[in-house]
Amino acid sequence: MNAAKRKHNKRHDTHTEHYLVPAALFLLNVLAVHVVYVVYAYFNAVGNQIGWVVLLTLAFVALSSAIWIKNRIYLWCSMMYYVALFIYCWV
Amino acid sequence: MSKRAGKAENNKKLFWRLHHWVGLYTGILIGALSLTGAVAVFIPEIDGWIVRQHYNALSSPSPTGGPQFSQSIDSLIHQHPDYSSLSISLPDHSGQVVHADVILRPEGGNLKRVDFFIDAGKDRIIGQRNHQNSLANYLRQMHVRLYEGYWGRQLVGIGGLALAVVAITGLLIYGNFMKKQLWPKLRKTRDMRIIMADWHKILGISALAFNVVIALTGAWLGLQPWLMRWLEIKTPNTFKAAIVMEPEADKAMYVNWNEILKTAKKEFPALQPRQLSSSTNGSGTVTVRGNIAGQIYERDINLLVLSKADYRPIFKYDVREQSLSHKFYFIQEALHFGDFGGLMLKALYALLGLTSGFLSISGFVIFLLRRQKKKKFHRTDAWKTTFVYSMAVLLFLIGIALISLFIGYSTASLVAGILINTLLIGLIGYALLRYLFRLFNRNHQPSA
Repeated sequence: MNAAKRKHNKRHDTHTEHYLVPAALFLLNVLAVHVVYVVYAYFNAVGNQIGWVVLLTLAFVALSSAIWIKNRIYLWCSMMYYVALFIYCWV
Repeated sequence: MSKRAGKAENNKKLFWRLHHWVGLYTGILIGALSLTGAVAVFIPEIDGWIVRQHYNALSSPSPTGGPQFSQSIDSLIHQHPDYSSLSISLPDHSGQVVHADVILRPEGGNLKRVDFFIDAGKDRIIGQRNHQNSLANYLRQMHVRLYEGYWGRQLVGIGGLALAVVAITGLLIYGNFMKKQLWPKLRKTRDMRIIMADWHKILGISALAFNVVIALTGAWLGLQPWLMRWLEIKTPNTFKAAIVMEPEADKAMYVNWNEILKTAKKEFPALQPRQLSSSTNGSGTVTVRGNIAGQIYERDINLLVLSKADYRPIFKYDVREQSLSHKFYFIQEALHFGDFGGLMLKALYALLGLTSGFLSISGFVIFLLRRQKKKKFHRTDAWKTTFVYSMAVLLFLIGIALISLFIGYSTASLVAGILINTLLIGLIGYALLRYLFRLFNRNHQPSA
């Protein structure tokens, strides 16, 4: 029984589940809208910057996979990557 | 328990209470706004489809490539010399008609707003409709002010504020409610309360950022008239040209719209003209409104004002050149309606927007099933109650739509006003009576 409990605790990291996953989901909402906007701008020859499409798609893949895998370092890195892109893009 | 841990526990209880009561009292409003909002993002597409299918109004290919409408506008002005406002909406895509939105004020008669359809290829008027009784106007007015003319807009703003409160408090209590549960795992059970609670938590946290943005922008847009008055905020971009002639002379002046579009292209190349309006107050001007590609701002916020006499530019407003406060002011509506990324973004907005509707229904079901657990309510009663409330909202939306489309906007607005204000007074009265009843019971409880 103790072994099963230890296994469950190992799987359940409170910090990741209660703070990092919600934060990543929050960013993923913003990123989803951002990706659609950039792709639309690219295909309508408004932005015409394929670089942004690639960088943001990468961020989307990274952030969604990080939420799925729930690795603490991967979550932090993918969030920081998108935050950096977001700041660079708008400021 | 340490003092700090006790304080944190009290805060969580407060957040939970706020989430519970604000959600319970405003859930029905949030649910209705979620549904109308999910449809409202598609207003231009729905309206375009209705104009094409129902009114059979289509444009033939233009010989010059650009929309042709000068002769039609000129004939409209001669047919309706009593018009008080004229606004022309240019088509977004080929095949769409030019809309001439004319407000008529006949002497002794009621004000009438007519939408004329112009074939942009042949420069011919091919149809018309009453603007106020259109489905597009219904969808907008229902989402913006619940069809209630006095404080409907402010009520919607309060709904936005309530959604922000439930979203933020939901985040603050999320950890407490998830405990050892993993996102996005649903517990294996047949208990509907637990199933609904799991979906409520998982969908709530998954669409949180979106709902917060929608809630805050909606609160601002709804409460804007009050907030601007209280905080003494001035509306940006309110240019008023000087009066230089009699209004009648202004209305009678001929405008070469092709020349206006050419001048706009020369003076403001980045502007994509979407709306043209001619002055009727004696200022002798034509205003060209439009968007700048790739910018996330309110529609038609950039403008160029030209003189009717010689098409000389009088005023130009390019949102890109404005201060941060102007940009912040004009980004709200675009963020709220998501019309900056094509149909895909609108579909994403509609999908995420519907989550707040699901959250208000699931929250209500959880509340009723919890009451049932305390043996105050039967399980079937919980579902019946939810069904009755949901059907009442749908009936209200459909009923007002039918009245607006087939009888008229003012009758629909009157009925909606009576229903909404009666419900509002009933809800406030019920909450007040409940509070007083509890207070009375507490004061008259026999001491042990």
